[in-house]
Amino acid sequence: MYSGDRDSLTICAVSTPPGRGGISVIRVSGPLAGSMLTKTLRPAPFNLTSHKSYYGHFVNPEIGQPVDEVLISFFQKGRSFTGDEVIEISCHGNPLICDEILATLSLLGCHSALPGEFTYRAFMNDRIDLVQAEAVLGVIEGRSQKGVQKALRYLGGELSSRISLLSGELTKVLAHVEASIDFSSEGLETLSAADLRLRLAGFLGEIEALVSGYDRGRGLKDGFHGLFCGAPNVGKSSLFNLMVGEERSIVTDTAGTTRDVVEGEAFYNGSRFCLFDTAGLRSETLDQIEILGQDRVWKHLPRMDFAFYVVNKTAELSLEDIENIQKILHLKIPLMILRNKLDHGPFRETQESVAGSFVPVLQSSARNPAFRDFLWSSLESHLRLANVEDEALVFSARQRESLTIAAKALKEALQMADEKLGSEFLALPLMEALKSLHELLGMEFDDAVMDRVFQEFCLGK
Amino acid sequence: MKSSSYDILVVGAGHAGVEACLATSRLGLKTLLLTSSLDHISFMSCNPSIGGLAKGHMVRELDVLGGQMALAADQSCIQFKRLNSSRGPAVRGTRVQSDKHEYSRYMSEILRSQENLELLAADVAEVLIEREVAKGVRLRDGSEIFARKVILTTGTFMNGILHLGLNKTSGGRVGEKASVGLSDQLRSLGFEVRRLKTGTPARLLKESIDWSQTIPQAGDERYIPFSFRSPSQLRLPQILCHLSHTTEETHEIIRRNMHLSPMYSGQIEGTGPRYCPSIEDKISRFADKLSHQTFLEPEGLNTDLIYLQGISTSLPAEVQLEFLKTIPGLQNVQVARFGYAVEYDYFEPFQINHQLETRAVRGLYFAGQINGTSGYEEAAVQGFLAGVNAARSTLEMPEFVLGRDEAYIGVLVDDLITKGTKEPYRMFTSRAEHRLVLREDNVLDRLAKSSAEIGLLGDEAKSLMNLSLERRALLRRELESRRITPKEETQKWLIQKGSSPLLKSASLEEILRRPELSFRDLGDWLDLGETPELDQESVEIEIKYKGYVKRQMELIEAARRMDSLSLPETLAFSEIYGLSQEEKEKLTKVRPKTLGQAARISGVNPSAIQSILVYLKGHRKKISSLEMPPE
Repeated sequence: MYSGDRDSLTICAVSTPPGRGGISVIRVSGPLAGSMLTKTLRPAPFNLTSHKSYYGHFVNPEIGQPVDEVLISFFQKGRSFTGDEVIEISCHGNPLICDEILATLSLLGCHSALPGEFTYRAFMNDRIDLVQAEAVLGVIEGRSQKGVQKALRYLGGELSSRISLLSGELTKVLAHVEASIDFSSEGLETLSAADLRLRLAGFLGEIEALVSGYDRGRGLKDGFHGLFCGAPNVGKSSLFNLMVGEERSIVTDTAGTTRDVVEGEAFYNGSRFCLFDTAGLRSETLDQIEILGQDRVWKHLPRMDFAFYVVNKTAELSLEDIENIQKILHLKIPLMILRNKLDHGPFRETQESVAGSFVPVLQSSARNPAFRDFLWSSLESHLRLANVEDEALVFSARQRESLTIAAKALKEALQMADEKLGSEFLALPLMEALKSLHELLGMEFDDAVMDRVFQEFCLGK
Repeated sequence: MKSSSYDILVVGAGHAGVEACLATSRLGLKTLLLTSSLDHISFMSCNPSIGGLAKGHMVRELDVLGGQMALAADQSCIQFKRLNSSRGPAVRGTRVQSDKHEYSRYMSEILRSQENLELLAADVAEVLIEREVAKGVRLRDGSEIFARKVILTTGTFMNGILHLGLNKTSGGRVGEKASVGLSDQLRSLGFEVRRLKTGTPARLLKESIDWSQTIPQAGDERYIPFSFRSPSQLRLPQILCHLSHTTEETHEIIRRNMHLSPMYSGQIEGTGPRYCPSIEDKISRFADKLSHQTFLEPEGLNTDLIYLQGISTSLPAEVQLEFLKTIPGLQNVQVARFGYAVEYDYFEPFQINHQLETRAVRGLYFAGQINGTSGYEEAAVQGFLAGVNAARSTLEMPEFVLGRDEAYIGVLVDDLITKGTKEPYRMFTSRAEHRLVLREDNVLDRLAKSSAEIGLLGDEAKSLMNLSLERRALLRRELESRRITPKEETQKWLIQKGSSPLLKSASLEEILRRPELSFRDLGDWLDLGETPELDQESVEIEIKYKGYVKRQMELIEAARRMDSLSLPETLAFSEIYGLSQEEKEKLTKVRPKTLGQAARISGVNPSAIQSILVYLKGHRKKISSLEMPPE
């Protein structure tokens, strides 16, 4: 299908403005909208009435796991904002929940909406006039000009290079498939059926690994992992206890009380957090147990989603602190410095230059329960900036969609290979998979395959 | 001088020109064919064969529409092959070796006996144009011939330069002079002209070859004529081709003389085809390949000349001779004509529309290599389309256009005018996104209606066509209604054929859908009688691959929706808000006729399509047949 023909698709996107709000609204527009409601809402309503809202749990029907408590409104075709059949899902304003809901919708056959696409539909269906629509065209314009850079920016270096590599390899395999059809009489050495199968299975494995590895909905299932570290006796354990809401770590005035890693669990805004309290970092100790405890800090750190580096309010950062902070920044883990032991407010957050980088610094108090909320909201907004910036969320949903389409197509190709269908059949899903990867990379899909055929094979009549 | 006013003028008597003038004269228009040499009508300047994958498909399509090429190929066939016949059912393609002299002789005879058609040997110097409308041509001698339409099919002749080593001479083909002036005139009118290059191998003398060192290659036993109008028996005796290969010594000689190749010295500016590289190119680009195969193909039954397929070259004659002698069987070879390269002018094809008429000059049509294509088949179908459309325009009939989902011919034209081409464009099956539907076996099903619309086929051909269509319908009905039951005898038969026994009764169609069974196995249940091979094949593929074909049809429907939204000719893309500068430029250059075509232009994003729709709707322009998406 030509990529331009999107009008028959069911599209979805978060339609509340970016930024934190108590509630987010996800809009779904298109012929499948109503069925999305009945497939994902538990209890499922028997029939749908326009302009009526339905309350329940949003579940991913494939695994049956509830994602969030939601209110879904239904609008019948012709009586909605876009003119299509529409549902609007109101869920908690947590980007991770939105992400999970979008992923579920995509699994069920929805496509991520392009910026401005709801308004586009509204205009095409005579729901709004041109003046109203023109504001949106600016968005569309920006999209066409910056789309590629944006897509690549959000893709991140490693992921994009893995996908580029994969799409290059897939192009090569497809070149073999095409050459075996169009140049069958030239005695070319194209991939054998067995090799082809092997390669395809390899691609599929790689893409599936990418999808699961990339699934930032992970925060919902496994929780975010974060760790408290810093010099001894600065109050790490007190802050840890405050966050997990119970006395998990023993707190004394003696430096080096915490010798092993202590684990605790906390929930905030629907997300699960696994927090770790750790031994204080100091180089001059001779205590073997303390040294082992410090080693564990560095072993745990690379697996963390964020870290708090706790320092004493009054003291300047020591050379050792700076070295440690540098090491953590080097691991590319989002880091916040907590200047502890300020007993009274006001709590505030500043940016300070440490070891050549700007790091958020919070004035904090382990003894003041009001600080708890301040720290949570501050943490959430930093995680959002690091991981789930709203625009990134949109892109990530689309990227996952592209990968899922590619995986599905590869599965189909493998099945065709098992049925011993000819190359001309296999070429169809393979082309679809490749197109999808190209789309993800922001690349134009053109004559890449034939170009590869000419590179790869010596042809000539 | 004969009458100096015609309905149609066709310039060039190659594969495009011949189809063009036959179409117009047969549609009742007074036509004059102008060519510099009447001795080279439908001449095969390069390989003596017609068809191949995708190309064979086009020849069959052309045949159903009323073209001549398939009949000429059958008439002159000296070896027949169906490529991929044991592999992909949907990508089988016919190729025949032709006796090239018989091919040319047959076509000349057809032309000479054609009513409404006159032939004239003359050099065309320029196109007469008045207020952006073609009025005729001026010949080299200054005389003028007037016509309502002019079709240019100049092949490699426009500003043609032949390269043999570092020698270059003006010419369109060896021994024939180039056509100079025509492209310069059109360039001065604003046409964009570019250069392409192609090459041909040496022709060898048959007696000088030691055949014992080569491997004979026979054609297929089974012959399926190219044309549904041809007799089912071969007319000419069949020949063998022979296979040999280059050696390391060959490569060494070529490498040593690479600096004498005009390709590598920088003397040739035009772009050559990547699918048909010269031997110099093969050796330098694939240095690790120690040998390249070559087929020795006779140019005909009564000729001494052998075409050396796969070894096109423009190295100097003495180098060619030296390396040829290192190929097994050619130690004592004598060369009748050395290989050479030819460089020529073509017009960037975005300057023509789907009818192959130029946008800048009404009544002027381009067909064949002038549009940047390569190949006899690609040329022939364009000549035919240009002829049909020139005729229909003269007769004030609606244009004739084939869709990408109907024929390879449709893919060819749409690709050319939407994407343009930087190298000689050859058809491949991979260019057709609806490959599973565009098969050789179903050309009649695909194009019977279009053929009737053009009206070139005579009554006899039409009844043959209908007969075949009825046979297929009958076969389908039989397969659907005939049931077999799980009797002991039946079960035994199934097991013996490597299939599984029946659980309940089944139609023959259901039985045929089993991958391990083919049509031939059904012979015990179904009297196929005289049902021609292609009819059987067509029905079998339809049934066996129903699911996949159906899915492709659904995609075709989706694409059609986009292609049914036509864009007004006056649409100012530069005014459309939301288009990037690049998109504006590309759209303005290509001037897509439909929204679907716009979407196929490389560099035009899906968002651009939405912007165009918003613009059109917002400005409430009067747009013919523009349907808005469903409310």
